[in-house]
Amino acid sequence: MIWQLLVSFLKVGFFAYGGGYAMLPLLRHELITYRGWITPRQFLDVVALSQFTPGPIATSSAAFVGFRQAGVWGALAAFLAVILPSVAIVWTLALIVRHQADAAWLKRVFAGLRPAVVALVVYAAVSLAGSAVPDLKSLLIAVGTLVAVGVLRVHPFLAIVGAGLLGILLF
Amino acid sequence: MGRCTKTQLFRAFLIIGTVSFGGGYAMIPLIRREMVERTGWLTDDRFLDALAIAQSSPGPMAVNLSIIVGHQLLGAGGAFAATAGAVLPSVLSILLIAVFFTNLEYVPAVGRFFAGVRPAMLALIALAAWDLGVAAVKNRESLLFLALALAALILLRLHPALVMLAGLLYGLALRRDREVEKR
Repeated sequence: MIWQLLVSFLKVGFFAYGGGYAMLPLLRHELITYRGWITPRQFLDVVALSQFTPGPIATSSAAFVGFRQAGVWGALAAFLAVILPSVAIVWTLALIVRHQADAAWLKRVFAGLRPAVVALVVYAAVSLAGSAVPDLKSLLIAVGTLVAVGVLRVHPFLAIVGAGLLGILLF
Repeated sequence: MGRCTKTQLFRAFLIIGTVSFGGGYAMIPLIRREMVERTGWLTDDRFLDALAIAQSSPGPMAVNLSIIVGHQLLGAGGAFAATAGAVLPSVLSILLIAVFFTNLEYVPAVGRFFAGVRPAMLALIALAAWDLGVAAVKNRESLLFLALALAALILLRLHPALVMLAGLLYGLALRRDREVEKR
């Protein structure tokens, strides 16, 4: 079981590109269709849960499914497997960047990647907008956060907790 | 750029990991605030480089980003400290839930809390996008590239990996002129 968890979550970690919701189809295929570890209903619950817990959805679902299948060791195995590809690839890129720091080609690559990176961050905000701001009250919270953090320089941690408490009062 | 210790890095990412509801992209504004604005450990340009590497790799964005930011600051030990801090809150909380409850979303106050957090998270990501955009767009060409990339993502539903690939090719096509030297 531990071995199957390792293989499955290595696959998810290696082939899921784009993070977060981009991983859902792959997780669904691996956990429901291929392994039959959880039912579609449980899968939806895990996705919902990972919205209520901090951190990446892939590590959350790995820890959850691993624990359900094989206890604490299962959770640990699934978690390590899902982050191992990230660690290996990011680490390699980091080493290349460190050794080639002064190379002209690398500076050009990063100069080109910067606007692409910003486009992806804006795109993340655009894709979240529909589900994050379904009504006028949440629009008020979004605008309030913009003003509080952008203009009044309130710390984002405070803004997040404040917005959550406001949510309990308003919704 | 000031220096930091592994303990400081771990503590900072532990707090970031605790409040970054929504995964990878939710971490971007928080990491930028802590590492760029508050402590000055990273510049916006270095943070953009970190984002470029994190988005070029498969796997969870939050994990990729913690590894590369930690690595930039303190090498291997830094990468370990940052990643441990970032994922510990999420793994511990999901395990607590797996052990004790299964349906946290049915506790009404929890649902309302997160209904409030989500629009705030969106606003924070938008603010970070603005600040990073100001740092990344240094001339008319890069602004044009940004606009085209956004249009392709939103209207044509182009895969994010292809946008990164286009950025790579665009960078290689740049001649060694002003926009590269000025960074």
